[in-house]
Order: sequence, then C-alpha cells, then structure tokens
Amino acid sequence: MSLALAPVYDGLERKIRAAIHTRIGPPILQTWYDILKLFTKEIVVPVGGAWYTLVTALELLALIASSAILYHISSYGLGHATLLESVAFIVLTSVVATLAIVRAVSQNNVFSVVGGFREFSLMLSAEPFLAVSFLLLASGAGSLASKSIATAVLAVSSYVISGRVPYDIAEAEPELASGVNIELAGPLLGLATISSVLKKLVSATLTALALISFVGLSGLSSLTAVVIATPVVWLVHTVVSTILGRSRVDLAIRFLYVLLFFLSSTLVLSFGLGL
Amino acid sequence: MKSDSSLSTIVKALEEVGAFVEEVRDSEVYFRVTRENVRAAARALYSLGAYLKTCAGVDERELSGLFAVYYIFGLDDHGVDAVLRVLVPQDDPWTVSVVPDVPAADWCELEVRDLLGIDFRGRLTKRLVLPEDWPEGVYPLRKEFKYDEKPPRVLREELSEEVGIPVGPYHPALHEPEYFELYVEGERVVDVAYRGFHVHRGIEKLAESQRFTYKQVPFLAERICGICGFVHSSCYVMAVEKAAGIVVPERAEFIRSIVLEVERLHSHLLWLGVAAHLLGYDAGFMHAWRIREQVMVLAEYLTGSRKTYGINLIGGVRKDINTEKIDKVLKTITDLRKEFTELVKAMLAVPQIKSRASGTGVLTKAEARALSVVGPVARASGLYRDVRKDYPYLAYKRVSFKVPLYTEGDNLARLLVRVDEVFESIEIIKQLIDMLPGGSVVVEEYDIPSGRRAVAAIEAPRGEDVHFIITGVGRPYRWRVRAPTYQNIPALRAMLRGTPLADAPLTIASIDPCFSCTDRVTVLDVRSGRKSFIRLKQGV
Repeated sequence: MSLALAPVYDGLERKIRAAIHTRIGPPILQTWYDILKLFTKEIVVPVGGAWYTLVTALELLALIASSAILYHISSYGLGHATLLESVAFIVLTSVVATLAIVRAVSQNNVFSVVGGFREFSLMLSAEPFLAVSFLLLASGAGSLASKSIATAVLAVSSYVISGRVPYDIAEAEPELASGVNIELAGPLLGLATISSVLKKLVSATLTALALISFVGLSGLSSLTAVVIATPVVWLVHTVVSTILGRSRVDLAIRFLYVLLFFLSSTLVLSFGLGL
Repeated sequence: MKSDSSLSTIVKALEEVGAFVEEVRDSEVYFRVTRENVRAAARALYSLGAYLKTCAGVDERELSGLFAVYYIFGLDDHGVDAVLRVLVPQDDPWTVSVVPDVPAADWCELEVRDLLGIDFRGRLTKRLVLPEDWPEGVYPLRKEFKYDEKPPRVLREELSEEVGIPVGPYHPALHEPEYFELYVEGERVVDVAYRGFHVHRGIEKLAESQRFTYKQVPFLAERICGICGFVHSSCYVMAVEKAAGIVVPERAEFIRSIVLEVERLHSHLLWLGVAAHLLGYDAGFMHAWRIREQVMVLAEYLTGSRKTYGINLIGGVRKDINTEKIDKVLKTITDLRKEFTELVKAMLAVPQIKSRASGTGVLTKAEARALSVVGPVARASGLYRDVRKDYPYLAYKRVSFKVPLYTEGDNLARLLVRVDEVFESIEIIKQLIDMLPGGSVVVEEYDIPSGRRAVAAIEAPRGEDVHFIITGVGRPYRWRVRAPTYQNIPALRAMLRGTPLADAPLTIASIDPCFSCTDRVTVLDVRSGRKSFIRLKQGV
C-alpha cells in the first residue's frame, strides 16, 4: 500500500505546490509516470557496480519495512507499541539513513560525496531526537503536556528526514547538481525516486501516528485514522516546504539544535515537574 | 562636462606626466601619451578618482601606420571621459601595462594582446580570448585578417581525460558556458580560478566587415545580449550619433529611455526569480517571473517584440508611442508596483533568504574601486556610480530619481539594490510618460564623416555598458563593446573567497552575469594536498 500511495501523494504535492506557484502543474499520477518511464530505460550502473545497486535496493527494502512497522503499530496505537517494534523501527530508520550516505559517498563524484556528508550531518542532528521522542511516545508514559512536546520533537525531526526544503541540502539541485543523485539514471534513479517518496511517506505517517495517539483510538479505527491523517500531514509538509527557502548545512544544523534542544529541555522539565 | 575647471584639472595632471591633449569633444578628452609614460598617466587619472571603463586596441596602420591602444577612463565626479591614446609601432608592437596601478585593465589588455598582437610589459600575460587551438601569430583584429577567415587549427597534445581542478564540487547553475574552479576547504571556498570566452563571437570584427553598414549594426548590437540587447543597440547608435554630431529628436530620446527602463524592469525581475531559485525558494522564482510577464507583454506592445526589440535606428527610433500605448504603460506599471511590493515583502520574510544572503559574497568598497566594478555590484559596495546621473544621456537629464546605495557589499545588498531600482524605474517611466514631448521620432538625413571618435555609455541593468567607435566609410572602422559583466566578473574572486560553497552559486549570480555552466570539476584536499579527479565524461 505504501509503495502504491507514496507516489500518488507526491503527485498531489506537486499539484499543490504548483497551485501556490500559480502554475497548472503536472497530473497527480506524474510521479508514477516518471517512475515507470525510468524503469523502461537501460540500466546504467555507476562506478561502484553491484555494490552500489545492492545498497540502493537495501535502502528501499529498509524503507518498506519501516513503513510496514508503522502501519502495524497504527493498528493498536502508538502508546501500545512493544519495545521490540519501537527499537526495530528506530534501527530501520538509522539503517535507511546510513545506506543513503553509503550510497552517496561510494560514488566517484564529488557532488555526490559532498551531498552524502551533508546527509550525514543532518542525520546526526535529527535522528537522536527522533529516536528518543518516538521511544517516549511508544512507551505511553508521561502526561498530556510531555506527550505534546515529544510529538513536537518527533514532528520536527521526522520533517528533517523527509529531505524537503529547507533540508534538501543533500540534493540541492542548483548547488550540487542533484548531489546524492547525480550519478543515477534509468531504473536506479527509479529506485531512488521510490525511496525518496517513501521517506516522505514514513515522515508523514510518523507524525500522523503520534497525533492520532492523542485521540485514543485502537484497532481498525486507529489504522484508518492514521491512513487518513497521513496525506493531511503530507499536505502541511508541502505547504511548509513551499513557503521556505533552502537552508545551508551550518545554518540548518544550528537551527535544529537550538529548536530541538529547547523542546527536549522542556520535555525533561515537564517530566521532572510531573506535568 | 560639468565645468571648465574639471577639464583644466585633468589636463594639468596629465601634462605633468608627458601627455598632451589631442582632441576635446563634448564630454570626452583625448590625450596622446607615449608607451613609456602611459602607466604614469593612468596612475594620475586614477588618483583623480577615475574609473577604467575599458581599453581597446585599434589597427590604425591604414590611418597612421601604427597600432593604437586606447584606455578609456571615466571621471564620474566631473562627468568626463579621459581617453589615453598610445601609439605602438607595427615592427615593435609593445607597450607598458597599466595593470599594476589599474587592476581593472587586466582583461582588456590581454584581449588586445590576443586579438591585435600587442605585447604588454610589466605584467603577467596569458591567452584570454582566443581558443587553445588558434595558431600563434594570427591576430583577428588586424585589418588584413578577413572577418570570415578560418586559420588552420593547431594540433596540441590531446587533453587528458582527467582534468585537475582543486577541490570542487561545484555547479554554477546558470546556463551559459563559463568555467570556474573553486578551491574548497570543507564547505568553504578558499580560492577561485575563472576561464571564460568559450563562445567568443567576433561581433566587433563582423561590424567592421563588408557585410555590415552603419544602419545594420544596431540590429547586430542588439544580439549581443538576450536580456539587455536594447542597451547595446542604444549605446551603439548613441556613439555613432555623438561621433557624427547627429541631433536626435527629443521624442526619440524619451522613447529610448522608456524602453531602456522597461528592459531594466524585466531584467531585474528575471534576476530576482533566479536568485530565489538558487536559494531554494521556488515560490519566489515563479511569482517573480509571473509578474515579469506583464513587462514582457508591455515590451511587445510598445516595440512589437518581447525581446530584441529592434526599434533603434541611427538618428532615432522606428516605433512611436501613441495615447493608447501611454495608457497601457501607466496601467501596467501601476499593477506591477503593487504586485512587486507584495512579492518583495514575502521574499524578505523568508528566513533563508536573509540568513544566506547576509554576509556572503562580500566585496569591499576598496576592492570594488580597484576593479572599477559597475552597476548594482558597485552600488551595493558603497560606490555611488550610475551613468544616468554621472553622464546624463537621452531623457535621463529630465527626470528625478534616487540611486540606491548600500555599504555592506554582500549578496543581500546587491539584491536590495535591484529591488530599489525596480521601484525607481517605475517612477522614471511615469515621469517620462508625463513629459513625453511631441515631434518626429527619427532624423532621416545625416552624414557620418570618417575618422571621428566617440565613447557612449548607458546604465544597463547589470551596470555601465560602454561602446567606443572610430567611424569609417559606410561602416565603423573600429567598434569596441564593453558589457558590464566583463567588468564585474574579475570581482568574483574577491567575493567568493571565504564564502560557503552552498552560497557560491548565489554569489556568482549576484553580479547578474551572462554565463553558466560547462562544468568540469575536480577535487583537491587542501589539507593533505592530495588530488583526486573526476573524469570529463562525469562532468555535469
């Protein structure tokens, strides 16, 4: 379902962004058309060969698995997730980020390498906060106030990993000529495109899951609510990314640290005061 | 010329270093100086506050049996162009370089060396304009060289597939063939090398050829630039009119000025869109270009073309403006002002625009002065330079407007200068429309004597555009064009040093250049000194 829906949501994003730009924009299924067309092209394997292809495929598999775990957790609510499921999700998220970096730096292209290091810097900044906030929410512990703050931390850090503006610095088309994706073409670019939209889906689902947990739904109704809330969160992400500009790696990390440290400190304080 | 005392000050200073007055015409003073004294003369002019506009090599062997190098200086405060003419014997073609005192002469001297074969002593020389496979000893601006001649290519050692360029990675993001090598430490640029002139078109030579006449050259000049072509055709016709003493009808001057400001509006809006795109703010890009579309439609309405207007003639213009057109102009600029105000408000509210443009790509006032930079680049670094004010031409002497001035010298300052200039242009157009005089728009009868010289300058959207002409029979004997980007690119080295790599494209774009990317990039770790390479095939 994730594989089928993510490109459609991405098509919707392109349509909405175009509307804000006062453009007509492409059809909603355009991302699907792009992917299908890429898979009809010849396979061009960059320097790195089979190793490179394996990393790309593993990255996609890890994304599919993390998405599946999120939907599994959705069926009974985030506050009731088992420790194993939570840890598995965190590990898979880290694996995705690590594989993306390995894929970027393994290419014999400086644009890609610089993009990879930018990705690494962002991962170091956002992933720990994402892991801690997710584990906290999954444990079901804490008051409404502390859960709200944890949700805010989760929402910000998951937005960062979606790779949207202002955090699209690893790809940064005018600066790095597509950065981490510069060497990709044909089916490999198709795989990377699917990975990219799945990342956005995981990011939106994560925030939707945290928000729905406040309602206290469980079972099929919880899953349905998350499935409905996901495109809404995606829409918010779209609007945010459209009205902002691209950050710079140093500015992005500084801003993230300030914001996430502030939110985390507040979270610790709220726990400490029993709020 | 602002006063007679201006002239006497300049003459006195130059006579002290062995130069003498050859000719005084309108706001131009021509001095003859020996090649041994030219450096001292250039230094004297610089100490009077002159900027170098350009230099030009001329094959005057048919006229005087010698080559000549013209250094054109502008004394903005006096409103005077001081032109140094250095005669160079053909059997011993060298002169002393002024570059040690006037760094802005770097490129134009190298160009004279490439195209005319005059050597410059006291400076480092290298090939600048001619391609690598051009044979030695063949100089295309010499009169015996035919405009359509193709000298045999010199086979050189085949280029290695790997090109060694210290630490990339870089992609300039604009779409013309220019080549920068950025030396990077981490994400910070530590040095820059530049290679341009990949598509040198030989337009100056073409205009001197049998294929062109005085009347045809405006249409050739307009094709120098796809964005501000009208500036070039206007500057060319102004130079010819000045040289020949042709008095252009006032109404034609107003029409030219209106169209020049329309061109500035579209150019600045285009640039703002590009800047927003480079900063990842594509909403700003799209809206800037949406607003710009009104200006393009207006240009088409006034001239018949969205771009490359083709209305300039020697002696006037081909298209008049009637009442209906006036109403359309006023409505468009009123709407434009409203929408542009909203766009600027939105753009400057985007945190990434301010944070990335502030403090990056800094060009200090001293550097700007030394390199004689022009236009918004100069004004953003605190230099009060605007040809419209310093050397009032066409109808600009009749209008009142401010010259935006900022002192920070960074990317944001250059952005803000252009934003302010859009508002000023709108006001200028309003005033010109209000005062539009009656009468004809072109002089039909005129004579262009040969052997006359003139310098014309126009404030283009990117800065001062300079055309120098020596009249010939039926066509220019020599036509030298100096576009503003030519003067501003050398400043990029100073602007890029210390700038974050991510802001390098914005910094390069901040001079609003005409160029882009044939990127062949390499890597050097400046800490370890170890080089690695990317292959040409991998170029972007």
